[in-house]
Amino acid sequence: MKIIKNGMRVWLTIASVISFLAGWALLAHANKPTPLQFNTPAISSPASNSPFQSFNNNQSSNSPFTSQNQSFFGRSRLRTGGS
Amino acid sequence: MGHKMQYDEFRAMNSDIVLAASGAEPSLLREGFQQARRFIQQSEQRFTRFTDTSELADLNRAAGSWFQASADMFQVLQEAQTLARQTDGLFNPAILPALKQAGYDRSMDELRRSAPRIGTLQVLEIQDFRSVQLDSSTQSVYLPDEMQIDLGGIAKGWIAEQAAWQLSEFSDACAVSAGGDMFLIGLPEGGMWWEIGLENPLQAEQDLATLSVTPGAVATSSITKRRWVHHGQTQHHLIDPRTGSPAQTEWLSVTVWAETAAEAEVYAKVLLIGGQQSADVLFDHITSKAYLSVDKNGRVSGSSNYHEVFNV
Repeated sequence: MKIIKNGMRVWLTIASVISFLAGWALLAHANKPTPLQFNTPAISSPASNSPFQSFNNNQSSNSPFTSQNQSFFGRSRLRTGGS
Repeated sequence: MGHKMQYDEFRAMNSDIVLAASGAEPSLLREGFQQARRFIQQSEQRFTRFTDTSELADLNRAAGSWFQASADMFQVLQEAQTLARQTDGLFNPAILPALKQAGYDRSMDELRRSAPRIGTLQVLEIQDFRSVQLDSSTQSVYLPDEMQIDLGGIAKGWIAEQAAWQLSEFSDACAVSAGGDMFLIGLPEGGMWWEIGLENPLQAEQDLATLSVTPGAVATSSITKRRWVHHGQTQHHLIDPRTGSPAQTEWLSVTVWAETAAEAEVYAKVLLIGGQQSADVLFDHITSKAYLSVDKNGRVSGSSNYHEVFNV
């Protein structure tokens, strides 16, 4: 019984050390996160930012159609200012 | 699917056009975009004053005799006359000769590329558009002799609204913006309003504020965008029908929310020409419309209801 207990302890220790080292290696080789840049207008309502999505999963990359929330990076696609 | 707003952008009517729609399958929205785009391009050919082959050019050539108009042209002329009467003639499409005299005789894209002209400016007397006769039984129009009209702004608003109604047949919520004159139908999914950037007239690439508005029409008139040098003087496209010259305005831009795009466009223009005095008369006790003006120091003011309507 004691042999089994000691065996379990050794196995858990080795498994923990291997998992820790594997996690460390994964994080070390992962891409660094890039901070988002926001253009903040003088007065604005809170922007709802979400990832840019393609219009359609099957569409070709040169399609003129785009898809996104009303505000993108804090600025509306619809603007009024006289033409 | 259908949650995100879809956009289609292109250039027409010498303006940036933005179509926005949501609430349907992408293939259906794409069909709607194509239909709206076709309508805008065909309408531009009808209403432009920069070709000799448009219906507007035919109408101007027919001044002094009756002219058989298309249904679209007749509808815009009817709205123009109603608004000319409502604004006591301050909205007057018969300013075309004065606009050409001020140097705006080519499209703005061409004008910006060409060299300034030298000489002296003459002041022209403007005919009154309210004297135009419209016969709805025959869909005919009579422009008085030598009257020349420009439907630029009101036609742009009207086209944006019609295109939006067409697009709404393919979507739950949609918007069409023609150079900032826009018509909004329904509400974006999960939203209580449409968010619209209000351009800073002093720095066009920046937004002065984000307007949050309910469905309807929004239009802005500004003297800072369509400008050029003619006979040594800086000119802009907003002709004051009382003087026949580019208006001397106390504001740089005026934004109006109204029920129709033609109304929003015309009232924005009229308030920019007439200033506070006109605003006091035209917006007295009116809650179906609202305006917001930006002065030369970037200060924002407006009608008594502008905070609630624009949520700023």
